[in-house]
Amino acid sequence: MNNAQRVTDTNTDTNESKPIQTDNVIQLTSAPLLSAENISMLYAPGKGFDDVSLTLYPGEVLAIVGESGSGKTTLLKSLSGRVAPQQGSVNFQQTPFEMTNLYEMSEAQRRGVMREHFGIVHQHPMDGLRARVSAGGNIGERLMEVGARHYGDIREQAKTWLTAVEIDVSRIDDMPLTFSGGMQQRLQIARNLVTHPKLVFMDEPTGGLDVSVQARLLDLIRNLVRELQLAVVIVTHDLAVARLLADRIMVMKQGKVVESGLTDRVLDDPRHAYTQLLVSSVLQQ
Amino acid sequence: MTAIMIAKDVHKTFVLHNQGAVQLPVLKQQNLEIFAGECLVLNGSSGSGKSSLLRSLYGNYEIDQGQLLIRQGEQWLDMATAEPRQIIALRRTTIGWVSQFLRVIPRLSALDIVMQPMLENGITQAEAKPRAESLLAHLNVPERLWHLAPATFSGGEQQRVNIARGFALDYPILLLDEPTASLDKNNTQRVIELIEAAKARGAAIVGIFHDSWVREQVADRLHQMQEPINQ
Ligand SMILES: Nc1ncnc2c1ncn2[C@@H]1O[C@H](COP(=O)(O)OP(=O)(O)O)[C@@H](O)[C@H]1O
Ligand SMILES: Nc1ncnc2c1ncn2[C@@H]1O[C@H](COP(=O)(O)OP(=O)(O)O)[C@@H](O)[C@H]1O
Ligand SMILES: [Mg+2]
Ligand SMILES: [Mg+2]
Repeated sequence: MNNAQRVTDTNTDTNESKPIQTDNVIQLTSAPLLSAENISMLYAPGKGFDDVSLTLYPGEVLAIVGESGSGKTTLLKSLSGRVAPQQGSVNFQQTPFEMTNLYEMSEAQRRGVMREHFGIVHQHPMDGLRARVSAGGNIGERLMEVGARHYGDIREQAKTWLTAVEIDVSRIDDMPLTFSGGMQQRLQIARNLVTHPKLVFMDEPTGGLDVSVQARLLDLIRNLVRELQLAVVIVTHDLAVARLLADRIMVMKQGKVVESGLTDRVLDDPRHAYTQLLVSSVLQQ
Repeated sequence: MTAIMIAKDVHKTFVLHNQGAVQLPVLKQQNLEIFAGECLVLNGSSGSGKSSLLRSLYGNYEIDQGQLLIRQGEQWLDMATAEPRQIIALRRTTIGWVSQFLRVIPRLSALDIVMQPMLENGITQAEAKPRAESLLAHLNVPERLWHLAPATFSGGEQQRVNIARGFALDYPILLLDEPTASLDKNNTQRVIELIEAAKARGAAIVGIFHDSWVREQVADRLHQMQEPINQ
């Protein structure tokens, strides 16, 4: 009558369950871009982060989630060269296949690495922008820091980036303080991406914004991350943001990583009590 | 013939830590073999763990014990111990997925949603667009909806966008969780045609189908779930 007659119950197979030898053969050849080994930074017991290890590969997006005060911002600062951890090492692939400890180099060298390879997007856009410099100047300044000199080229690139972050080019000479919060955040992103960093650190980039403004900014970030193949570490307390942007997620509670893994696995099959609590507190969407 | 995916001795128990640490054993000693060109149907009553098993095959649920082996040429990759980026790579190239509900990026149009898996695999816009359009047309999604975001679509329309997306690439393995649940008979028939075509090109399909007539049309083999373990 039909194929379904060829019914077998695969469960009754007397397949005794000897593990098969496996090889993780999907060859993902690239070496890690960033690795942290057992890093800790505690201002006081439970204040900061404790014994965190992670590896980030080129093009990967990692979200760090957890409640306020769980140490996310402090961790992001240590990963991005801004706060030396009390213990452990943070290593960056500065030249192909060679990891350098960020905190064993000189201050000047570290600043150089950060300038050339990192983008840092602060939660409050004005923390990452210069108030007394025009929008175009805020973008151009970063180019000059990495050696650009030709005024015409710099201005052209500033225009290109304003357009990329959906700011009208006619605003190029306006001061960022005359911009809305959403525009300021987009400008901060342009300022960070103009030098083509490999790795971008973002701390609650959609934090203080209205919902509709947030949505537009998220779309923009998602598209830029994909187009530029950026590796990103993003701190957020919003699980929907993590689901939208991140390949992987790390859940923090009181300075400790309690669970980590593939984003949809952690959110759909949370295993740690705290992750279950976080996931169940969000309205179903 | 060698299987292209093998699940071996799979166990999974949910522990609901914030609800008195209740334990829900859902998968016990599950063994599956999946072959190219055939459709294996997971069969069992509601709550018997069909979706949990399928999600485990996709790396969406984590199993407690056992192996989830995917053939990669002469070798096997165990998804149960693979790194997230390996699972992501597998999902891009090897394992397609159609869930019961559309969960996509908000604000993307139906057409963009269907094109996305193709674009992520380096297929050009020029190639991806006609393919996406023909899938949407095959599934009777009205053309006026193609450029709209599906958030406001009916359940059946959303589901058909979801199916078009799942069939956009010729994945070697396709996992289907009640893809026809919210569809009428005519549209269900369209989905069956897609399943038959995928089988014909050599796809291995694992599916869950609520309607017995659909099951009878597409299934080559049934995998009987154990009945839910009552406590
Ligand atoms: N510079 C600092 N000096 C002392 N305590 C700090 C400092 N920075 C952060 N903390 C404390 O460390 C804890 C973690 O802070 P933070 O990393 O900002 O958490 P989150 O970003 O998750 O909200 C908080 O209790 C905070 O008060
Ligand atoms: N993420 C989850 N967390 C907790 N329990 C779950 C989860 N997913 C499924 N379950 C439970 O596992 C059991 C099997 O569910 P499911 O796999 O959806 O069965 P089926 O698809 O056969 O109806 C149900 O009792 C369900 O509530
Ligand atoms: Mg913070
Ligand atoms: Mg189900």
